[in-house]
Order: sequence, then structure tokens, then C-alpha cells
Amino acid sequence: MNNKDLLKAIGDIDDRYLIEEKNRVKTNNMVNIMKNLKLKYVLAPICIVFIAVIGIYKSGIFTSKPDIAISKKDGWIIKEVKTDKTTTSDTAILPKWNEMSISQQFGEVEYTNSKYSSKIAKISKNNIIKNIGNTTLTGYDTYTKTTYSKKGDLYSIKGIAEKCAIAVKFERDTDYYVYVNSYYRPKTLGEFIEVLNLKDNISFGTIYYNYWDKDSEENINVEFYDVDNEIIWNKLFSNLNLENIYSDNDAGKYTSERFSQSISISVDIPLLGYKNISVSLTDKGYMLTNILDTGKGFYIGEDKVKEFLEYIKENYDGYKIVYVDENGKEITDKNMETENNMVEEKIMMTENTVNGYVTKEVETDKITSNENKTEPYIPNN
Amino acid sequence: MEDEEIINLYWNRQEKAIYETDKKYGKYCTTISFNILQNNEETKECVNDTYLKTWNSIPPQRPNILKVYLGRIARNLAINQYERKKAKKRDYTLEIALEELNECISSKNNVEEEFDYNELVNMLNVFLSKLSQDKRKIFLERYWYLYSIKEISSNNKISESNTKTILLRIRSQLKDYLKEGGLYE
Repeated sequence: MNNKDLLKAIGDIDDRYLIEEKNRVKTNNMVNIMKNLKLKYVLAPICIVFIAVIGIYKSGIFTSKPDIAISKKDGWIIKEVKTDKTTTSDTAILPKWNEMSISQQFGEVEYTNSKYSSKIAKISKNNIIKNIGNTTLTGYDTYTKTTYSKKGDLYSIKGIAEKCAIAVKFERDTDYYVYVNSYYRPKTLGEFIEVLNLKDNISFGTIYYNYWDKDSEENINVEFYDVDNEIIWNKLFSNLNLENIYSDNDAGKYTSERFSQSISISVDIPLLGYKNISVSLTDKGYMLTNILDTGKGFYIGEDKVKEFLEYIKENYDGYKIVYVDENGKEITDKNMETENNMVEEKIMMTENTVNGYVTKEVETDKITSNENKTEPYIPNN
Repeated sequence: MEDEEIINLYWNRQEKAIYETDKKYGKYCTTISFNILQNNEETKECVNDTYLKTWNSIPPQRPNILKVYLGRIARNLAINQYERKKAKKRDYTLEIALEELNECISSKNNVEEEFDYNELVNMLNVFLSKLSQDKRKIFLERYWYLYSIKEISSNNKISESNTKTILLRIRSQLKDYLKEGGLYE
């Protein structure tokens, strides 16, 4: 062993020592470096153009079609999104033990030699089939370095293969919690649909279309709302024999090196506690998804992807997202702030009235979001 | 944006993942890299490489703590880059830190001998758990984040000589601990 080995080993110490509050890394005056930061790889033009928003931003905000169109440009309806600046911390802090729900505290369970991870989601008793065993779960409090254990009964879920997901009911608790096997990999699309009963359990939301406009040299974000789920299902999920070709080692091969476009469909599977996960279509003809947390991929062909996109564009209104500051000035990648400020989003809609354009803020306090919740997500059953 | 959302972007192969990573942790990665490389251009290159490596590793990885995951990649890449370019300037924090860590190992062992790396990491974890939080912070600022003595003393509001003394004592304790643990004779 030499000093370099020791230095390297120090680099591999437990994460908890690096997230202690007092170990927050103070940044110095090198922020100027970030002003000139360019990604030298082909992702560069794409990454910089996105205007990020936080706080109340969730897909829920964009799933509802705006009531009023503002204007049309290049065939898209413009949807202005107003941004304000707030600052926030960039420190990742683990919640304390007593701040976590029981299924967060005991986040993993083993069943038939597979590890299942908690979705921090309750499931109704109506969706429980039968008891399939019992076990003891362990949880670890990184702050006090205490290990806890709790007994739990295991149950199968209606319509869901046990190899994909099960439910756990803890002793002295009345609720059932969903745990999924992230490492389950279906062989085919048909198998995937069957083991999760996707036809009944999945619902599709907003379709996000992102493409590079070489004329304006901008990345364009367009959203399509309320697309008929049957259309999506029939166009993308009809060939049950498609093999799951996704490989963890080849993650980069499913998109072109030079980015041209991407299509992403927001997906909910309420039964299993999934909200706003994704099915995406790449320009190289792959349909990728992170349903059950790990990658699955099916080659549907470039023509199929193009056909799907053309159908959506012809039959649904596309809303081009344009970010504006508090003065109504459009924020583009060219005049974007260089400070890493977090922003809070407000949705502003402009209405054409007899007196001219009127801008008003869309009420967003009614929009629900799972973000930052410590309570389990309870699906509507 | 929450870490889980950023990680989902990686899983969905959405390039926005890198933008969000840069927005949230860009300063953090830059600081770690610059502490080692002490050069703006090389730091930029290292941070870019960090993002690329993160892009290529998620999936299949699904980090529990994204910040630490990124920091570790940035640190390792910066150290490797430093080694490749063979700058080895004596006033570089990394060089000085390596010299200091020499004190923690037996002079007999500063050669290529076999040792159990995982055992070493475990022992370091146990050693760190026995330190007070303040001392652990100083130790990690020096040997994980590779801050200079001046920066550490400023971060912790103590004098530079006090910082040096604390680090000297910790290194001495570490040496005894590794020896007692049988990692070397």
C-alpha cells in the first residue's frame, strides 16, 4: 500500500460522511469558469438551451391544455411560462429517520432471492390477492448509525406478476405498501405488457417533443396534451414479439450522436405508485422506458417513430414552450442568466380581449404534485 | 429540481439531465476539480468529462445520493488527469497531501505490496466514525476535497497553525489505527 492507494481509498469512504451538513463544500470564486463552460461532446448544444424551473414545476402543470391560445408561430401555439428568481440550497440532505414514512425507513425487502425496492406508495386492500409469506425488513439510520428491523407480511397484487412487484404490510400497521423488483427484465414487449397488465394499469399524459431548429439555432420544446391513449397504445405497443434489447452497457447507442429530436411520453402507473415516468422514442427508432426503474428498450424502427410523430402533429395542437421573465421578455439560451439561480415557475397566459392582450397568472395552487412529499402516494382505486 | 427527477432524466436519456446536473452541482464539481488541478482549462475539461461519465453510467447506475456520486467521479477524474499530465508541482495541494499521507503508512510499505483494498476502505470508515464531526470535516476537506490549509482554516474559522496541528494528530492516529488493524506491520 502506498500514499496513492490511501488517497484513493479515502475517495471511496461511506457517502454519509460526505453529506454531513458541516461538510458542505463551499464554492470559491471560480464561478467564472462556469460562464464559459461548454460541453465538448455532441450533447453540448442541447444541454445548454434548456431553461430549468423548479418548485412547483411538474408534468401536472403541463398536462392540462391551456384554455386560451396566445398566438401561433411556425405552426405551434405559443405558451408563455413566466419565471422568477429565487435562490435555494444545492445541498443533498438525507431526511432524518423520524421524518421518513415506514416504507422509506424500510426501503428494501427480499423475496424469492430477489430484492424489491419500496415505491413509497400505498396500495388499496382491494388490489391485494393473497399472502405469499412473511419476513423481517431492516432499515438503517445514517445519522445515529442505528439499524432497525420490522416484521412484515408479503402479498401479491392483482394483475401484477410477483416477480415484478409485491405488497408489504408491516406488523401493527394496517396499510399495504408497494415494493418493485427493479431488476426484472422482460424478454419481449408482450411479456412486459402481460406481467404488469399494462393495458389496464398504464395511463399516458403529455407528449413532449424536443427538436433542434437549425434556422433559429435553438432547441424547441413542444407539448401535446390529451392525446388519446388508445392511439398511443395501438401505434406503439401492438407488436408483442418485439424483444427487449436494452443493455446497460450500450445505453448510448439508442440515440444519434448528433441530436436531432426526441419524443417523450409522460406515463403514470398509479397502482404501483409511478407518476410521470417515461416512454421515450429515439431518432434511431428505439422505444425506451424506465417502468420498474431500470431500462427496457424495444426497437420499433425509425419509420414507426416518424409516423407516430406525424400523426400527433397532424391531429393535435402543439404548444411551444417559451420562457419569459417578469417583464415579459423571452428568455433564450443566448441571453440566459449565467448564475446558477434556481427559479420558481409561474404560468402566465395571455388572453386576446376586445381591449387587446391581457396577461394573467394561471392558478397553480390547485395543481397537485408528489414532489417533496413524505407521505405515501395513494392511487385512486 | 430534485435529484430523483434528474436521475430519471438520465434514465430517459433526456439531455436535459446534464443541464440540470450542471445547474445544481456545477459549482460543486468545479470546486473539487480545481482543488486538484489548479488550472481553469483543465478544470473545465474535467467537469465536462464528469458529466459525460455520469451520462454513460446512468443507467445502469441509480445513485442514492447524486451529489456524492458526481463528486466522486469528479475527484477521481481530476486525480487521474493530474497524474497523466504529470504536473507534479511541489506546491500543488495534491502533491502536498500525498506527502502528508505518507506519514500514515509504514516506510516499509511504500512499495507495491499486496493489501486488501476493501479492508482499507472499511477501516477508514470505522476510523472516521470515531472522529468528532469537526475533525472529520477537516480531515475530509484536506484529503477528499483537497483544500489548501488556508481554505480549510477559513472554512472552519480556525488558524492555519491549528489546522496543521489537527491534521498532524489525525494522521498520527490513522497511522496507529492502520497498524493496529494489521494492514501493515
